[in-house]
Amino acid sequence: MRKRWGWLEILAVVAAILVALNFYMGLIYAPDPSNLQTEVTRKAQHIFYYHMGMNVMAGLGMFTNFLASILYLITRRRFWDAVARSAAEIGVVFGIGVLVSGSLWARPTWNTWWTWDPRLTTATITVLLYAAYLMLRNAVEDPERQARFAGVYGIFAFLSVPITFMSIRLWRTIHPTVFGGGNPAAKGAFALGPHIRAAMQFSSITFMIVFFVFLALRVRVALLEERVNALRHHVDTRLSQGAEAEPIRR
Amino acid sequence: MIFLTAALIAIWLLTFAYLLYILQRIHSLEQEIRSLEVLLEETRQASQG
Amino acid sequence: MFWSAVWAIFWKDVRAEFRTKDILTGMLVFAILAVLVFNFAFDLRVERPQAVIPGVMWVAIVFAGMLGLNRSFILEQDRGSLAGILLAPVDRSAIYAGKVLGNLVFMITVEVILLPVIVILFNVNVLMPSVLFFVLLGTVGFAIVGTIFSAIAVNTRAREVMLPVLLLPVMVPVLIAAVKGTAGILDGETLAEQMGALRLLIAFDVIFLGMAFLTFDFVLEETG
Repeated sequence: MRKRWGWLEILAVVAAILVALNFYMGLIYAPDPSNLQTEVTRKAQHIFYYHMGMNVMAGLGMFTNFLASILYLITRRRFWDAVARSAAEIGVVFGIGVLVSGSLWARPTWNTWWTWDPRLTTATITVLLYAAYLMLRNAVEDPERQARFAGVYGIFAFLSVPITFMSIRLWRTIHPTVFGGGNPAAKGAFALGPHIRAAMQFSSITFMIVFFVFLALRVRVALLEERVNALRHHVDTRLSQGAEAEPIRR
Repeated sequence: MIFLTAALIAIWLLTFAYLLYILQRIHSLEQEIRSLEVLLEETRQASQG
Repeated sequence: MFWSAVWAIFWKDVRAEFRTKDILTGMLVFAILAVLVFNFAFDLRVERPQAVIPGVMWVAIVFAGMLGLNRSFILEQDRGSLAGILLAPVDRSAIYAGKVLGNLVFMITVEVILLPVIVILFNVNVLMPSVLFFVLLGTVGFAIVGTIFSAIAVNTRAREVMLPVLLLPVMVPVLIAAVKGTAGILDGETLAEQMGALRLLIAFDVIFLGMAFLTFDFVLEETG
C-alpha cells in the first residue's frame, strides 16, 4: 500500500484544518448580529458561514466548468473534459446544499421555507441547468462525443445564468415580495460587525480551498476511470487476439 | 437553534457523503487498475510464451 | 456560397414538410389542445381566463415547438440524409442557419393558425402588432437555441426526453420576457413600457445566435 504525500494530500489536510477552524469562527468567534430581533433568527444566522461557503463552491464549480468546456473544445485534451465534468458535479452537489441551507435559514428568518425572489429562483434554475448537463453526459456513450456535446452545452448553460437572473428580476418588479438587493447579507439583513465580517471572509477562503481539493480529487477519479477503460480495452483486444493461446491461469 | 443544528447536520452529511463517495471511487478504481495491469501482463506472457 | 447553402437546406426541409405536413399538423393540434386544456384547468380558479392567456399561449408555443424540433432532426437521422449533407463541402454554420430558418417557418405557420384560434375562443386580441412582435422575437429565440440543442439531443440515448431537459432551463428568460411583454400589452400598456422585456429578448437572441454559430461546428463533427 503506497502512501503518497503529494501536494494534494497536504492541501487536503490544510483544508480540513481550515474547515475545523471555520466551525469555530462561524459558531463561536462570530457573535450574533446585533440588529436581529429574536433568539431564533440570531442563532440561525450562523448558518450563513456555511451557506455562503457552499455558494462559493457551487459558483466556482460552474465557472470552472465554463472555462474547462471552452478549453476542451479548443485543445481537445481529456484533462479539461475531466475538469469540466468534475466541476459541474461539485456545482450541482453544493448548489443543492445552498438551497437546502438557505431554506433552513429562511424558515426562522422569514417564516417561510421558500420564496420566489430573484436570487433563489435563479439559483434553483441554475442547479437544474447543471443537473441537465450531467444528464446529458450520462446519455452519450462515446467519450469524445460526450465531451464535445457537454462542452457546447456547458458554454450555453453558463451564459444563460446572468440572462436568467435579469429576466427573473424583470418578472419580480411587478410582484415585489421579498425585494433584496444582489447581496445575500442584505437579504438576511444582518448587521456586519468587524467580527462577523472576518468570519465571513474566513469562510470564503476556507471553502475556496475546499473546492479546489474536491475538484482535484474528483478529477483524479475521472482520469482513473479513463485509465481503467483504456486498460480494459487493451485486455479485451489482447484476449481476442490471443484466442488460440493458453487460457489465463489465476 | 434547531434550524442551525439541522442545517449544520444536513450540510456536513452532504459534504462528507460526497467526499466519501470520491475517496471510495478512487480506492476501487486504483484496485481495478492494479488487477487489470496484472491481467494485461498475463495475457502478454501468454501470447509470447 | 454560404447563403446558397443556407437556402438549399432551408428549402429542402420546408418542401419536405409541406409535402406531408405530418409534423405541422401534429404541432398545431397539440398547441390548440394545450390551450384548451389549460383553459379548463384554470377556469374554475381564475375569474377571467383572459388573465392567463399570455402564459398559456407561450407554454403551448414552446411545447408544440419542441415537438417540431424533435421530429425534424430525428427524421433526418433515421433517413440517413444528415450523413449525406455532411459529406457535401458545406460550412456547418450554413446547415445550422438553414435549419433554424426552417424551424422558424414551421413555428410561425403554427402560430399563424393558433393565434386567431385564441382570439376566437377567448375573445382576447393577441393579433395586435406589438404582441405579434413579441411572438416573433420569442419564437426566434426558441428556434435559435432549440435547433442546436436538438442536434445534440438527437444523438443521445433518451432523445425525446433529452431535448426538453436541455432546452427548458435555458428558455426561461425568453419565456418570462415574452409572457411579461405580451401580458403588458394585453393589459393596455404601450410597447415603450415593455422596453425591459424587449431588450432582454433581443439580447438573448443576439447572444445565443452568436454562440450557436461559434459552436455548431463542434456538434456536427462526425457524420450523422
